[in-house]
Amino acid sequence: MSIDVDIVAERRNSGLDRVHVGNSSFPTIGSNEESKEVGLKVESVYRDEQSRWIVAVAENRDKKAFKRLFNYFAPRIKGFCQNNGSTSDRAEEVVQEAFVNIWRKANLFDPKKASAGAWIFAIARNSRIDLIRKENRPEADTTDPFFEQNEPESPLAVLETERKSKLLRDFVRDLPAEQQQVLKLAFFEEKPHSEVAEELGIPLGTVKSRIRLAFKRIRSEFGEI
Amino acid sequence: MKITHHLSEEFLLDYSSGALSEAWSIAVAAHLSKCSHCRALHAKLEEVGGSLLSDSTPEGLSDDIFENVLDRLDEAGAATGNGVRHNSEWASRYGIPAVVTDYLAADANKLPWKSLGLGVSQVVLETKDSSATARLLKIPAGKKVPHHSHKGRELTVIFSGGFTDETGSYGPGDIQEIHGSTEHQPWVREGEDCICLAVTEAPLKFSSVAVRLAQPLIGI
Repeated sequence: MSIDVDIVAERRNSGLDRVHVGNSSFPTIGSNEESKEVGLKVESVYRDEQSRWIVAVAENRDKKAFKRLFNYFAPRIKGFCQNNGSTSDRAEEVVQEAFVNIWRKANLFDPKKASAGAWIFAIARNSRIDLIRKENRPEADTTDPFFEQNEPESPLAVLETERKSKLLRDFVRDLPAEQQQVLKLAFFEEKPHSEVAEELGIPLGTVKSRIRLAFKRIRSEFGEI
Repeated sequence: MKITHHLSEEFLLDYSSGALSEAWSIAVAAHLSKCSHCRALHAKLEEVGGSLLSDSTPEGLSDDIFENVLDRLDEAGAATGNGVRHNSEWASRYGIPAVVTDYLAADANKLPWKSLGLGVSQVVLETKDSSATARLLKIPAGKKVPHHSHKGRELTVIFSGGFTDETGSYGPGDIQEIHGSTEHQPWVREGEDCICLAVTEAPLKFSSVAVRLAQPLIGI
């Protein structure tokens, strides 16, 4: 494997790391010989087509890509919200708010840090908090001078994120039913773990240990996190 | 920054799923601003959210939804981070993250510090959350806070200085999670005032009668 790779990692004014794919033949990823051995085709850097759609929205304000994102995620966001007991109308309001935010924030999407699905989940979650609960959603901001930065990631992190995200999806599907149930109540119904215990009629300690078991498996499966 | 006290997995799950209300979320986000360890788990939990979203049953949408979204795009420019930051010199001195200073007046001289007695002062953060209260606390160096317990949970994130109590020793970036009837007596380290964010869901219960009588005045 020795195909040259054209990836330029560029630090933008926003302070966010972004990966650019071009036809110029910049030297490779990283500085050691080993990383030069890693072969990638340019078009495969964003292998995940959903990530490519978000990047197309960010960089080219591409409405076709935006429509594709909408066709895939909008019905799922609606279904996701209706799990929470939202009416069809309310769920559609959340969908609209989420997609306006996807358009606005596409330039903040960083495929090294999150898969397309996780990023859109976070936008939909925040839109739901904003519209239904009418609360702010406090979040750590990477551009904050008092944000303690991670070590800079290699451009290859984008592949690692995609790979782990796909594995994680299968992994969540295969979790034991009782662990999956606790996660679903948390994410679909936005139930704090204390209410999950009430709803299932089981002790709080049992809910905590199910959460910890699920996380332990996620940890061991996906390395130190 | 050496962080030794992290957030419990249950609390982090509540934050990542969106279940946690605003006041608690400020404390979680303040800790995440400082702690790459908890951030990594949070990122994984958002991946779990993403996979549950991707696997959820699609529901048909009304015909005009996409058109409505397109109509709103012209007014929606591109986002530039989370907005302009106004970290005052004061907040900078204590390393207070933006997710907290966003709730404070830009001019540190105008911060509505209120004395709680015993040398402790607070600024209550204005949130839309009626179930819990977030407050910035300033406790003088070397001060022993009276023994107290909590009706419910308490989250405390330290920005500057530190304290020790029955549960351990806490410094900048650490988060302390206290549950139910835990009684504790924080003792602030010598040499530096302790600046921290404390979130509680119910009035504190002080053990001493004298302090309990003073509590309505103290206001926490």
